[in-house]
Amino acid sequence: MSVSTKKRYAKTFYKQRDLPTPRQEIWPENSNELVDALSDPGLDIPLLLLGDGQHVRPSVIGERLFDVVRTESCRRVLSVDRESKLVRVECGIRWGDLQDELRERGLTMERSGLNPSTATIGGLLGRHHGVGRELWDGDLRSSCIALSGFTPTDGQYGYLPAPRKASGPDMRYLFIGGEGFLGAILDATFVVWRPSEARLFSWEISALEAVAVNQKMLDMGIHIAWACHVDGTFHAAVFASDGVLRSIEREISLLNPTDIGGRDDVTSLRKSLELAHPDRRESKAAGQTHRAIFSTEHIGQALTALGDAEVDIWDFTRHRATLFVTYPKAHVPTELPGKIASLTHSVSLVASDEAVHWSQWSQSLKNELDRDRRLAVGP
Amino acid sequence: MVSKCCECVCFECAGIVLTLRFSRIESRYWTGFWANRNARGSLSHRRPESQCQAAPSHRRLAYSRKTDYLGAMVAKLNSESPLSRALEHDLADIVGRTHVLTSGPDRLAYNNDCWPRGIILTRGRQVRHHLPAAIVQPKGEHEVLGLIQWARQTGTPIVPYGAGSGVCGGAITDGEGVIVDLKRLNKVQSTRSGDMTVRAQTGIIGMTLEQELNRQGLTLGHYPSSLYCSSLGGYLAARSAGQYSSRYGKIEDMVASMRVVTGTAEVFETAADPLATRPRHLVPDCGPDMTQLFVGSEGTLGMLTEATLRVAATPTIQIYRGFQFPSVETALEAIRDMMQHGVRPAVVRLYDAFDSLIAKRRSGSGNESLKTKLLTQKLSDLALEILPSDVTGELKGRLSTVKSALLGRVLGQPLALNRVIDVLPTECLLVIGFEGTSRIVADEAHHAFGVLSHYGTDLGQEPGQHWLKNRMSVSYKQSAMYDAGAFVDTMEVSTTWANLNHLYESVREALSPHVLVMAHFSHVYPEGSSIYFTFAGFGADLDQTMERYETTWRVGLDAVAKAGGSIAHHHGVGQSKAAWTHHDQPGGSALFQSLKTTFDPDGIMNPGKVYAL
Repeated sequence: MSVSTKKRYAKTFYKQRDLPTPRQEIWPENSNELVDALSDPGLDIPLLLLGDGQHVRPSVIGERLFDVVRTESCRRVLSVDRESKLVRVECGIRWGDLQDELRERGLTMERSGLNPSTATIGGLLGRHHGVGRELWDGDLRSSCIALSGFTPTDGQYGYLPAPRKASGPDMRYLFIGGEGFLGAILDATFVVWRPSEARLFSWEISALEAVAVNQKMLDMGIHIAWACHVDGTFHAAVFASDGVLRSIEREISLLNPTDIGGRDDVTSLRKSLELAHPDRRESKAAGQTHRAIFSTEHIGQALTALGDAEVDIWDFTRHRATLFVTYPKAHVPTELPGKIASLTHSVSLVASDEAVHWSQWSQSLKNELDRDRRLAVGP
Repeated sequence: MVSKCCECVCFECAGIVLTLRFSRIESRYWTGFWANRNARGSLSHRRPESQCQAAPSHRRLAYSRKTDYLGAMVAKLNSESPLSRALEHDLADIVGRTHVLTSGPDRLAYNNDCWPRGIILTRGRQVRHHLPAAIVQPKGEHEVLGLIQWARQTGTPIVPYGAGSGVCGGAITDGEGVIVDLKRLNKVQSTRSGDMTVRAQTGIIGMTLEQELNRQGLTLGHYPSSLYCSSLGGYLAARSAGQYSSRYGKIEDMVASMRVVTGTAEVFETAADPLATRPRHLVPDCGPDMTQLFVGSEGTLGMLTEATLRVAATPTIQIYRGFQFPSVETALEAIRDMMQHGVRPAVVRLYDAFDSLIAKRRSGSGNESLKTKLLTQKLSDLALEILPSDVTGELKGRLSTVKSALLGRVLGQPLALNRVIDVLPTECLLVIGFEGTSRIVADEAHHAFGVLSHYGTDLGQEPGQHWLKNRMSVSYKQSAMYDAGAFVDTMEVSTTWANLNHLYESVREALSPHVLVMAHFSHVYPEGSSIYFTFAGFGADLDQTMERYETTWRVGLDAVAKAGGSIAHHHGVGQSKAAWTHHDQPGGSALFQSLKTTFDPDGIMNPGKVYAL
């Protein structure tokens, strides 16, 4: 095997993320080497696929010993289709780096939702999501139109880059959301945009008021690219042509925004928010912060019940919102208050180590696609 | 469950099978449907009156025409049900005696869905290829569970069945299998304006669900032309698209979670639905996203019994327009430019030159030479016979039917005909519509029309309004073409913008020697578009018709695969395209086999569909 191995990062990298330390790290330089690593006949303990390690859950690994395959060197931009506005990249490229690469090429993914900038594409797609994607929700899963993957038993898999196919089950989803359970994401193809005019609307209001304002904007027919309520301010980014933006401004002025910014403000705020995104295991508050996804039916109820906890909302859609609930260090409840815990789509600590339940079918899938247990995740 | 068509050539050719099914077995549902027509609600602007009135009278007509042949056939089938009395008793214990159907007419009615290949066979009196052993009609999930357990014990293949409007042979069996008709699972369980979702059982007919939502000021936004005779389960099983997909998405964009009974008789929710009253432990907290793995599985892994879908507010503003472009290439460039500006039209339909002839006929416009006029007259007459097009609905009623001899002569020389089409005037028509609930929609539409005007001519509101008025005016009668030995079918493919012209030309070139071919582009995205090919062919007898039909599909799908297009955009795979699925998902056969081993180890769930394993 031509793949390089390193050990020097082990202690600090894993300690910062509250992850168990592997025996060694393997650093493939590209997706071909990543396949080589997974196919290595000399493999003696299972492998854990890791990008920046922000979203992996130790509980899916269990107590087993493992080596880590770090994918961050698999970071090439493989192709750019300017006519179709598609970019194909290797799985190890960091989200922030991808956006920089696109900017240099006169393209952008700024219409996507907010993600931690250090997280890798493979990690963002492969993490457990808790809810499905929605149309126009800004989720990377929505803008991913093709993917290449690899399973230890069956080898390479590809999903043709063509929009909205009806050719059977979408088997990308054995990899997307699979946490490296059945195989590796090698590369992915995303829809990108040419830069366009944008507005950043901001309100200094409570989270509860932000939910109401967000709803009103959606009722007005405004396509919000991304919105968040952080540190007492609600921000909504809107991309459109000049004419449409003027009309939107007129409508939104009825909602009394505190501030209206332009395209540069959108870019600048987005960059700073993504650098400080709370959904990272290495974030200082990761052990005291719950990530909880609520239906819009219940957000008001949830915010009221959470009382004094610090709550930010990082992802609004018509149907749901993702809350980050941070407790003081001395008091970290293992669960959200009982009366709202049962209403969540999904809830866990950002630095989650909560036990998971592997269903019978997941065990069978593991037997099928990773027969020799080359991958550390799974039952 | 079966695939669903949003364009509905299929309903032109529903034929005797559909006639029987409606008249004998589904009468109770259709009775409910006719009654629902008078339900009050905001759906009135969407209701296609012509089809509502046409279907029952046609059923009677078609039935009487075929009575003699059917009488003999039914008598024979009645005497040879392959299901033993013991097995029939087993099924009756699960769903009740009245919901186990084994008579000749019942089995004949489920002999085919709307797969044109099956219609050709039926017209050729070949009805034994896909007869089911029996049909069962479960009422609830516990009965579905019981049926799957029974199928496992007896090794009997079972085929989930929605409303039978699929066009790919996704809901047919082979003489040994049992059809599980899910239309009795027809409840809307809850509609929630708080989070804009609806929970419903999967056997519900699309129109019934839409009406229920409309009463509460909501819409699913899913409008296949088959809305009146297709089911929610069918939409989900085949990754269906409606006419408004550019705004509301396809069904896989709308679904939030589903309730599944797998082929191992395991029950689970594919994702959390916090308002559903069911144990949370049924929702996986790790592993892959089961929602997107079961959407599009066409009943090969399990049966879908309930689903939670995202809905939207019923639109109060609708803005429609027509544009003319000098060529398909220019029109596609215009649409691409518009979509990549980030606008979200509800409807985008571009008709290629031949499709657009019909619109020219209607308006009387154009300055072609006399020769061209005569040619276009002939071709558009033919097209009007072939196409159930929403654009042609009005004209269609006024024009006489093409005689079968002429049909045979014309369709028997497809290459020459297609070459003639190639030299026709190249102008093409675009219908575009925006809808929503606020005046921002008008600004967005204005911006989009501005972009399109750089490339083509604004024809004003009339073409769009005409489309809107006639968009559901599909006929439920079978095309007379089949009696003349002809056939008509559709192929919906998709690809990226960079590859679109190549795909369009490649498929046209491949099909041209075999069939008359035309196309429109009706589902567009920032990154690409679907192409909807309609083709018609002819054979002197059943064998030749079948040979030409099979050849057409083979060369067509080979061309799609070679050109790098997707073999299916919204009809699903069924049996007809199963040999080509691996082109869309290289390496997918092995993964699908793993899914089958996991969820259907006995191979009882709709065998032979999706992948040719």
